Amino acid sequence: MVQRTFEGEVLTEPVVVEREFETVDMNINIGPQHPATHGVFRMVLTVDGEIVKDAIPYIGYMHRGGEKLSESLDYRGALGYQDRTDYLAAFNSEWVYVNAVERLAGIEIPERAEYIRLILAEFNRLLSHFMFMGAFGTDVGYFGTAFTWTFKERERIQDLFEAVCGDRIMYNYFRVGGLAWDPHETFVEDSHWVLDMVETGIGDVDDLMTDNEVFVARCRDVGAMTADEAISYGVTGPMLRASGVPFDLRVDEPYSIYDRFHWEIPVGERGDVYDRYLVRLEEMRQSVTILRQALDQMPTSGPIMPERMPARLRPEPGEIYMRQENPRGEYGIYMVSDGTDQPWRVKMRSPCFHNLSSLKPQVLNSYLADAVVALGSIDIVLCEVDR
Amino acid sequence: MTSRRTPVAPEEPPSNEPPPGSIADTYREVMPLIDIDAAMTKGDDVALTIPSDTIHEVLERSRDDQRLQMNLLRNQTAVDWEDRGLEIVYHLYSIPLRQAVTIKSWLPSDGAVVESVADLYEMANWAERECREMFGIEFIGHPDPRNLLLDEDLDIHPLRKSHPLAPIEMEQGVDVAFFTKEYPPPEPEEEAEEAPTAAAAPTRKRVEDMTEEERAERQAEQAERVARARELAAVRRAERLAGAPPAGGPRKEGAAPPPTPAAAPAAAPAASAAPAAAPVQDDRPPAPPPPELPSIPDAEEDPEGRAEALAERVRLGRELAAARRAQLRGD
Repeated sequence: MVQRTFEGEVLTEPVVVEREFETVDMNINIGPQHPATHGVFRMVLTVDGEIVKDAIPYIGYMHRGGEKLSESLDYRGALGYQDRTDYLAAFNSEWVYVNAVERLAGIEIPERAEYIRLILAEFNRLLSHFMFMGAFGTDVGYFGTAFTWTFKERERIQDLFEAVCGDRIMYNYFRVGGLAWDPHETFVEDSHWVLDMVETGIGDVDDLMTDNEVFVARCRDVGAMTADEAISYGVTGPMLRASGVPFDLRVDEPYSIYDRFHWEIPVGERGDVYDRYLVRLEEMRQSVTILRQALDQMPTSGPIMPERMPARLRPEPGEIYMRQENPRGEYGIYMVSDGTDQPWRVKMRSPCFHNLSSLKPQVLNSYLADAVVALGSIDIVLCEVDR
Repeated sequence: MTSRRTPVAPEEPPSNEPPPGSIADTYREVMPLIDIDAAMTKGDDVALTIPSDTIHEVLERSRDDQRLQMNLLRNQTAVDWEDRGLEIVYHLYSIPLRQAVTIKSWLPSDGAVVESVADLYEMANWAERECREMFGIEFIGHPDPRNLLLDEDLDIHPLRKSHPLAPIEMEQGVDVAFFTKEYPPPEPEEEAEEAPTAAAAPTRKRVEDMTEEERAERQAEQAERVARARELAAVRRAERLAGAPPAGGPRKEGAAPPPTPAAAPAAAPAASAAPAAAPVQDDRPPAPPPPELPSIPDAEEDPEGRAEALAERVRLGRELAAARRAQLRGD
């Protein structure tokens, strides 16, 4: 087509007039019952086309007043509640609680009990990270494969837990002072066997997901946070390490017997969703390293409870903020004693609570589909968020 | 409602001073004008108590000073000490310098107001929202002071010690069917037409809707009912042992007899008159024959002798029960 101007010049290219479409911001409600929210979590996203312009999270659907309940029971009675906060890493949660009570009351723990606690807690970290791999794979589009593969590995670890303490989720196995009972006779051999299987399983997940083009495309540069931003939001755990901060309470404020083992802290570079996945994957390998050393060092026999324990725990008035590295970050118990047999105040510092508060800066100006991936990478457990 | 106990925490700050060279000295160097009380916690952290109007300043300088670099606000909460007020607690940590500190401050119980630190740490946004709804502390300058975990319209502060755990649960221990129903059952009214109909009967008020006085009244009433039921049960037990006819009015036709203890002497004539219970398969060794029991004189003729005889029967019954238990254990 030949176009002429009024002056008679011939234009070789057609004139294209660009008109901007006027879009209207729309509010989209996601949750509380939605498979992508991993529980009862609700967020209201304001979208302009497909771009997220605002995000308002709503939590509290699972709020059960766990702190108030723990304050109304005695020190041992509130132990069963600790399984019900982070149900994917119940051993870790229990461990923080009993450690807080023990340090408040000045109780020494036998070495063997300490080793068994550490081994079970590290196994629980593997369990929790496998759950993340499966659920996150579902979030980005591996509907069945990642979930079934990781649950196969979870099953073996859960069988081990069942043999040790009789339960698969709500263990209630740690006691103030030690453990409820001795693990079964073949605990060490079973653990080594499970570790062999788990190492293969980690490799399988690695082969399945890490280099997959679709997976990388969905995860790279999504939900990126800088280190300063993450620290300001109180983000801890693998999410903070993915942003390049080598902060791990097992090394920075060593508790228990973690100073006896050698391992490395995996750290990410960009702080995006893909780095969080890589950090968690490497953490699982490091957990296997810790577990192998711990199983080798563990005393084969010995007591699991102190010889004398007070029938009723009445710690001196005082306070403690016990914090440990859970699979999701820093889990803390702030406990205040007033000299009676009930704690005056129990505050649970939930890592997911603060990790989730950083959702808004992650999803702003990103695509709506990426918001789901960013939420999945936080690895939330809503029972722990709401407590 | 009052709380379950009164706090017995020490009035003055504990004498466990932090060792020299600790982070408390650094704080005193950096902020010489601020009144700082330092103490060690059970977790070997240093806890600094500061005036509540300096919280924002202290946290800002903790974050920005090169000797402190407290860039991570890891935890923020409060403690309700009832008469002594509220204690607000900040747990800070320095990731580059690997040092931790606890900063505390006292607030009045009513009308607690403190400056928000959400402009310093983004983490404080949610933490202060939770603290506000749970303890009723107002944070000045908070960007988004809505309820976080509780319902949006609720204006209660559950983690205060004055807040009851749950009224319904506190009542549940007493409010079981055995104690709420009339015991013994009331005599049927003669005047059937004058009996109150179901519509006119006073409806039971829910525990949550009751006022303080009504609640106290209800608790007293229930306690009285419990005491009466226990008293009656004791009388019944003695009567069963003695073999006398049950007190408290005639029993319903066809009602099951009260379960007699295995060790109760069954030689009394009244007990034999009761309908026999269904035979139970019992492969345990047979019980020894019951001993001779003293006869019970009539209450009008010899009240003292009757009481003695009853007491004697109870004593014999207990001995028999103990002997039977020992026999079953194989002693």
